[in-house]
Amino acid sequence: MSAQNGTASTRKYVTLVSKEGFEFVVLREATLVSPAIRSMLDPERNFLEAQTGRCIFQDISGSVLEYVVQYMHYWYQYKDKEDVPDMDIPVDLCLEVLMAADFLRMDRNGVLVLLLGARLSVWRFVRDQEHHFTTA
Amino acid sequence: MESNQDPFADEPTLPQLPALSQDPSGNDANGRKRAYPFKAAGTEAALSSDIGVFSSDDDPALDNYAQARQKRRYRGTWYDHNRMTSELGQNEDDSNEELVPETPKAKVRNAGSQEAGLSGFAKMHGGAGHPPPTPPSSNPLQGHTFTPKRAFPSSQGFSSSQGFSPRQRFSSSQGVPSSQGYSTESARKQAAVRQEIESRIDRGESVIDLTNLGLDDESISVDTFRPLTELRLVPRVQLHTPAGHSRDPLTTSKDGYLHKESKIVLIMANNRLTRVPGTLFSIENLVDLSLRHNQLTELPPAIAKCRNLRSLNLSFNRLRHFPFELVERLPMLDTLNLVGNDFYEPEPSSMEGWLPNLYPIPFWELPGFLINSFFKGVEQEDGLSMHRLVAWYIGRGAVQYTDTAGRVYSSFRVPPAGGERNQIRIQSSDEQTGPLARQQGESQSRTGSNQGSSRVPSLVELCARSLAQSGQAEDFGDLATEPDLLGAAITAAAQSRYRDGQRCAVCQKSYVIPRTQWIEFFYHRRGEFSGSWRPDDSTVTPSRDEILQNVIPCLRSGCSWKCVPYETALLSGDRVPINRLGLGDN
Repeated sequence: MSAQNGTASTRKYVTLVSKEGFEFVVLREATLVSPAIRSMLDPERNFLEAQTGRCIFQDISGSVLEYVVQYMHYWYQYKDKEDVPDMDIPVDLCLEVLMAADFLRMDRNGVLVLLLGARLSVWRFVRDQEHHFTTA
Repeated sequence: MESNQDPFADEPTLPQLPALSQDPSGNDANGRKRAYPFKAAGTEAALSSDIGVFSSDDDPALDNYAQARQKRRYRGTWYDHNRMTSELGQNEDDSNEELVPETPKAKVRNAGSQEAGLSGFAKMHGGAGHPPPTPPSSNPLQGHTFTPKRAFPSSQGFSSSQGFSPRQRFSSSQGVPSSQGYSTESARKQAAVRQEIESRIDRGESVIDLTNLGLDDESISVDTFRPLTELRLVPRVQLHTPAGHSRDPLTTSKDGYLHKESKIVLIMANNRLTRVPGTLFSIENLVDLSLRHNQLTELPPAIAKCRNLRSLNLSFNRLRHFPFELVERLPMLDTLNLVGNDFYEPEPSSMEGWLPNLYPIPFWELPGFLINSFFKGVEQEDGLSMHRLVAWYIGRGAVQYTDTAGRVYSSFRVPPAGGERNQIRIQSSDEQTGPLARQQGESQSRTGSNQGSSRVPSLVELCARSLAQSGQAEDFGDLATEPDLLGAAITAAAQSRYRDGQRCAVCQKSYVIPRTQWIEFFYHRRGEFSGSWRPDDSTVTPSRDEILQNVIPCLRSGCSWKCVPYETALLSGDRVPINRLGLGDN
């Protein structure tokens, strides 16, 4: 973890860390697609993430975060283009990617988001409870 | 219900509890998340490549995703299966052939029931097949103590082995309490529909009459009409067309043979359908479709695939709009009945001055199959001309912008189905309304990532597409009740699959979640296709009342916030170009 506070907020790349500790180094511009990450990295807000340039997602697994990162670059590459090719997301991951997208507020328009509502965890919790209930 | 014991054990009065590894007392009161003893039955183990729901799922019930397991052999619905096993348990000695679950392979028709990759609990709800060697479960209620919460009809439909009759099955088991009526009722109806269709096919008839069966949305699944799409009648060849009859180019070949084409007439009048699956229009030989007196609120765009459709009756429904794909192909219809619908209307004041001059249309714009009859000059004695339905563009309403969760970001909202309001103001072509920012706090320049300003599909859209293509969206019907984005995406994916695909009105890409929507109005009437250009004597100027009576509204959707109608080529008064794609021109 770099402690170069002065430069972290201006560096070109940021690091996204999955719950297993996989690290993805992403263009800062590309992460702007997620309002959640954008507000985490906002220098004015002085979150720890903004100081270190590392965002740790306790709820997103590496395989899912990989697709999220892939999408960020896909978005960055084609955002101004007219003809956009498709990006494939494997079916077995798409529910989780969906939830990650929800968590990261991927396509909310101009909504200020703070990372307080960890809906993903809530959802998991409810699901697990349901499971215990039905098998007990 | 399943165990590894002998199927015909002595003691069928109590259900055999499944041998759950992690939970020996596993009494699945509502049938959810129950481990399936896949390795139990000792038949040939064809390994399944089914994939799990969540890659990181620690749910022990889903352990079997990691293990090799059998493909299910039984085809059909779970309730049938239950019924069968329970009846087997009660009448062991009756060697009723029809109730033996494993029907010969040759009899199993439905190729579509082999959907791979369902989730475990979706299987319990969605009605995928079960493995064949099923021991008896003597408790007929067990399978019915849970009610499928699916928001969408199962993609499985019925695998209709011809040998068994669902009606018999249901009539022979009256012991099912009516409180469980949801699943059995819809199952009974599905079975009735399937059986009706199948019996018609078996008899070689081509008129399928499903009138007054009380069909609702649950009784029609994506697969209901699949047997019809695969139907091919052997042409009956008949020499010497009767003299005096003009040759019908549709049915008669040039050498005078009369081919009996499989023309399918489907009548589903007087039911309670609110929608029809897009696969209905995959019936290539469908020529006449009547959906009169239903409660339809929308028609799938897939109707464009139905290139032989000649007659369409949609009267007395709750349609508010029409698929644009059909407007493009109006000339191929002989009759179109739209009476008694609740269509959107243009605000009369906003269409001031729209009184077009309708000129004859050059005949070569006719669909190819009509050109022959055009030259026959059958329709008019003086000169070559022919009248077919044509549409002219009037104008469009404002654009509604939504995000992937369905939140609206514009002042205009498309009036919901069943609402009171149905008048929409027509915008002038230079009037533009963009999306509104939800909150004023963040300026557009600073966000920089405003998804709306890009044609890149959102991540949610991509996931939903993936879901829709996989055909699993219906199986996650449980999750469709999740609030917000997840549920919205799953709902949209299932809807898209039910409609059998939809394309963006602007960039023609297929999409799942519409991001922009607007209403376009068209005026339709019988237009003249003419071989000679006579603007003076055949120009028609309809009155405003006549226009208002013959308006067709279309709900058009774009796949991104950049897909808006501002650049569309159609101007007020333009005739809608005839889309010849797939029309079978020759």
